[in-house]
Amino acid sequence: MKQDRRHRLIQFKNRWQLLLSIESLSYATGASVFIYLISSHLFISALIFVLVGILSAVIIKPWKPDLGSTSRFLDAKFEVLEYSTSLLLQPSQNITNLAQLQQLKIERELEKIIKDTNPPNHAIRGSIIGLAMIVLGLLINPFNVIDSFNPPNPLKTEQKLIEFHTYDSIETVASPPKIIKQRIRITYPSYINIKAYSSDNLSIKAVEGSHLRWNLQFDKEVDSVFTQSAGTNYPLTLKNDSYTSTTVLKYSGFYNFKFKDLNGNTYTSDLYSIDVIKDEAPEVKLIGIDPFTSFDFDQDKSITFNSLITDDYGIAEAHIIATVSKGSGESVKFREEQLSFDEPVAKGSKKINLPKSINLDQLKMEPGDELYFYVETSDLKNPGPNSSRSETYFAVIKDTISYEFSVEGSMGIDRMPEYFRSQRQLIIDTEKLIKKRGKTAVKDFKFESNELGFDQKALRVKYGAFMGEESEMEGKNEQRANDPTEQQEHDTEDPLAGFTHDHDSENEHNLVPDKSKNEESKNPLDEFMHNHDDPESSTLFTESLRVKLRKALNEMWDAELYLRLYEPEKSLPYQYRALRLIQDIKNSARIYVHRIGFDPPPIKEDKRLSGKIEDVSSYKKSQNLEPEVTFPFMRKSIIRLEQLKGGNGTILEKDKLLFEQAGNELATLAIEIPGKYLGALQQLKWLSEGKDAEKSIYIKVQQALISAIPKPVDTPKTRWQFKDEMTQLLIKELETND
Amino acid sequence: MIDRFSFVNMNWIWTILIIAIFIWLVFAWKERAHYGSSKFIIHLGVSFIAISSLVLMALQPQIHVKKDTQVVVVLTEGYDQEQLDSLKTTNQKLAVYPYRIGEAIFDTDKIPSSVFILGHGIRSFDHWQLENISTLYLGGKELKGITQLNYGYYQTKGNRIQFNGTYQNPTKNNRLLLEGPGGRPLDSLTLTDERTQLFDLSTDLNVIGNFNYHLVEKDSLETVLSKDILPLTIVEKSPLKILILNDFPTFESKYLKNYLAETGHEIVVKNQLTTARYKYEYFNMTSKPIIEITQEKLKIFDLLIIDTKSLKALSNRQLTTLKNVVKELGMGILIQPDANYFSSKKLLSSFKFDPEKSKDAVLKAYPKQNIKKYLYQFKNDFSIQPIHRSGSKIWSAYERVGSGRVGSTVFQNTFELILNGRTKTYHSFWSEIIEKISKRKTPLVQWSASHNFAYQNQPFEFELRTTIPNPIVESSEGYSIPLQRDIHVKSLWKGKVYPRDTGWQQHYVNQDSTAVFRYYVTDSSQWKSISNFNTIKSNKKIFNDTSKPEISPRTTLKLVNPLWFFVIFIFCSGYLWLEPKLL
Repeated sequence: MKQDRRHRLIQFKNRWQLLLSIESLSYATGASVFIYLISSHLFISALIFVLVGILSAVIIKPWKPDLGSTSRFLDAKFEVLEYSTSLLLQPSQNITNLAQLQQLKIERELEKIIKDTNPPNHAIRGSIIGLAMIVLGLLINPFNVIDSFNPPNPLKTEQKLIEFHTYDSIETVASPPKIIKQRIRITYPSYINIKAYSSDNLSIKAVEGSHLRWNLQFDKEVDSVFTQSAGTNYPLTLKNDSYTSTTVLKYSGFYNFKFKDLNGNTYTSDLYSIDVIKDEAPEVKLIGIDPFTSFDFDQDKSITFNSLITDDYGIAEAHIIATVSKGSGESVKFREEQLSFDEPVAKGSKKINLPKSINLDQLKMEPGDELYFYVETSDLKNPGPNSSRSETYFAVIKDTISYEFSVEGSMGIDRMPEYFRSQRQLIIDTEKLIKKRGKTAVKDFKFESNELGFDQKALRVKYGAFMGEESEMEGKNEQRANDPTEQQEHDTEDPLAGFTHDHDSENEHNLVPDKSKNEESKNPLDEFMHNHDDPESSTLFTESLRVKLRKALNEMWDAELYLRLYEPEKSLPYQYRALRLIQDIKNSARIYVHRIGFDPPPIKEDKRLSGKIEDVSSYKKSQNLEPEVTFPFMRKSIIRLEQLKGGNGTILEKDKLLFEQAGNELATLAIEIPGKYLGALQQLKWLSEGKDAEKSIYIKVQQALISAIPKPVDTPKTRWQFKDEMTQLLIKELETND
Repeated sequence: MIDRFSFVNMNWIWTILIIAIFIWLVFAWKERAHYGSSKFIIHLGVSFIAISSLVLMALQPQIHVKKDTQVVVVLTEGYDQEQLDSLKTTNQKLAVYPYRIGEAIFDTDKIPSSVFILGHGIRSFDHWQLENISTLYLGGKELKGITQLNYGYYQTKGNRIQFNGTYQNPTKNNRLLLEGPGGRPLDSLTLTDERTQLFDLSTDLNVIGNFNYHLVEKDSLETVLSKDILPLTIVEKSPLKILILNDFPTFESKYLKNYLAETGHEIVVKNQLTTARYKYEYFNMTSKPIIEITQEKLKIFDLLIIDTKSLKALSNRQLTTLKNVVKELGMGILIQPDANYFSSKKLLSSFKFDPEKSKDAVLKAYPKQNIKKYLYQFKNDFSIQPIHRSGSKIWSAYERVGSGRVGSTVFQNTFELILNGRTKTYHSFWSEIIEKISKRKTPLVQWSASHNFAYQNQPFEFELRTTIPNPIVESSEGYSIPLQRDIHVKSLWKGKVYPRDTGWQQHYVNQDSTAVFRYYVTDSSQWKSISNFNTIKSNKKIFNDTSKPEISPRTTLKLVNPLWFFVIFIFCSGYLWLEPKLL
């Protein structure tokens, strides 16, 4: 009876546990089947089953429900049970009569209820999820998703022995000699760290310079064995029962084997490709640097960058070639240095990242100096390593005192005299002065401003001299000219002056006023002026130039005024305008230089073609420019194949020769695009060996040949038209009625 | 009435009559005993009837009988069963005959009085069978497929060949592919659901020889629905002989000369160096002909390219010579213009020019490529034939002068196309001009045929034009083919063959074995829709022609049964035998 009472509860508990187990099992099964379907890997899926099973069991805990929790669950769910199911668990002897009554009642109630009650579980959800995973796996399975993540497995290749075809034997040989062993050994160049290997796949793909050795063994004695490539035969030598031949890979191409048995029958194999992989030059990339870097002289002048070097078979070395240029124009000097990276180059690695930081000061660079550098690297290829270099990068320390040259152009030297630059210098000094305002004593400031004003005046007076203005500064000029340093400069300027006629000087036409003249005459422009007193009638410059110069002088006047009023800021705009005008004038001077070209004197019309021409003779020239027909044998083969296609005859001896020559022509194309022509080349080879093929082969070969022939150049053609009596009559009629 | 009668053994009539009269006279002599009595007269009369019956039995008389109107239906390919059924309901006695190409439709004694033709019709070479029969062509199912196709089967290497045609009732989204001899698709188009679709496929011809191209129709699943043959004969192009006369060397002539010489043409360039001194350049020429403006020296050239200054420097006599060479020998002249050419007096040609604003022109064939030109355009005159034009503006043109052509262009500095990398444009630009203006050469024999291919066992008509007096055309087996000379054009000959084998066949002229005519013979499964379309057209034209005179009702000759004469003879001879015994 006791047993009976608890029986329902135990049953319920067992059901509960079972359902929870089913749930966790279906997760595990679903996951493992899913994994199996996409990976086809039994072990992984078993592992997944165990893992997911354990994980879901830990979460779901199918062992958890016991009799206590069962009764608690039932009590909570059904009010009818009056929270008394636990009574059922107690032996009836130990409880009160009332409790026994209740026990009986509950037992009855429980019996009614329990059949329709399910313990809390997600077994259905679990099995649906499990099923869904299986279905998903089935759906994904055909696409081989996992394969696309895996590197393709090397296909297990069965040893495919060379198949030989015989075409020219009259009697069929009962048992032709057969290959029993074929081997090709590829030894890579020593600098490539790949071990030599042997293969029975005779299509070769290897690095340039690799060493090849073929090894063929026949079951019977044969007369001779050759490899054929591009129409040439290379015999194989017999050594220890097998035929061997060696070569060093240089070019891509095709080859096949050919052997002669003792009866004189020849056999030819299929074509095999030789694909030579070129050892590419390394690639260099500089990271973290601009092509052009400039530094102020007071900055920290160091450049830091990384160079990323990659190569297909290993890098041998890398370094930086740096060139420092000092000075400018003719006095430029170069200094080249080879710098090594901060880290040593790991020889033989395929990809390295080398950092480097260059300090310009260490290179003894000064303001105005420029640094050009690039990274040079070479790989391990032997002989003749491939080397490459990066782009050139620049670094410059800014020259604070540099100024713009605008005249030199093709002249090579700056020919403009000193005082043309002074306006710019004045501007720079004025700007400096403005910066100093407030820092220096007012007195000093005013003094400097006044000095600048004086310089501005001196400049104006110098320019004024061109205009023929009376100069109050002459004495001053003279004084300056007599300055010993100045004098010296003049001496060094032209040491040959005494020996040469001055027409050769660059300033022959007095394009710019010669300073030296100042020394000799009071007025440097005496020779050019008609009227000393009237500045407006000066003819030194053209009208517009004079106007411009006048304007410039006016600007200078104003600039000087404000400098003298200690207001350099106000003076600046005038100075700039003056500078622009002066530059304009310089440019006009340049245009004038352009103008003096060769201007030939006009030829009189009646003198034309009247020279003596006795010694001139007519001239005849004959030339043959007729284009050669490209691929003549391929063209002939196409026509012949068209006939063969129609079932007219078989391959004759001359056809074989034709197809062979066509094959050589096609091979030149096939090397470039093997995918397109290799098949046809193979079939053409068979045809050239005399194999009578089916129509479909003829069609295929013909198609490939036709598509390989280039389109001819567009050119006019002769048109043929028969002229009969009617057309002639018509033309005559037309003419008479015209 | 007499024309209703005739005798089968008309040839024997005199013999039989003489014998009959002789027998009758013998009989009369035998009856001389009764002479004078009425018996004699009766006996003579009866014997005459008996002998006459014998005579008629021997001569076998026949009479024209008006035939009962027999209506017949001839079923040809593509007939509509419903149409046939409705015809049968209107005429119960309708006889149905099938039509097989090239075979007799009716037995000779069963020729019907009127015929209905159902289906795509009877081939034109079988029309003779229906002569003098009133015929009505009723048509059949609608045609589907390519009904018209136009292309030149005789082509020159380097040409771009065009296949134009009409497709009736196409299936939407099916594709029409042009396949080369190796089966490589060269061009294609997608069919629409229009009732008739015009199509245009083209390809470049790079290789010489006789080839079979194919026009293939595929559905969207790449299933081949039909594959029809397009036989082509591609021959090597023959180079031109060109003379270039220039007053001074120009880049335009230099580039043109280089281009022409490099493509294999025979070129002579004469450039003036100074007074009476010239530079002669011969390209691809084996001999170095002397260059003079005489008919004798110029006759070898197909084209003369001359600049305006050289043209102006020619004397009147030279100009006349040039004109004659163009007129009579058909040489072409291309005048290279300079800025003065357009406004000055035109020599050799009657071109007129209008000023035009734009400095360069774009041709439709080479979009986005400006070609420099002078500020002129050709005045559209009825005598000029445009070569290059855009819209109504003509940039290059020629006019016919006799059998030759004189042309010019308003383009200048076309060599800049080459400098700009537009070499192909330059080539095709000048190819067009030069080809159009150059001399048309006269072949010794020119072959032509109404169709691009022949059908096996069906008549194939061809024509040849030749100056050979009595050409003999032989087939490759050595049989000579009878030719018929055209009544009006003496150089035109026509022939007809019934090719027996499929594949490439050739004929040649016995007098000149190089004049070979190649044509391709296919079986009748090829190009069915085209031959059906042509048959329908010819059937409609021939049989439904209401203007044809009414055909008189057909009569037939009927043999008079000799039994009648025999019975008369028995009665007569019985009377003559019994009468003496009974009376």
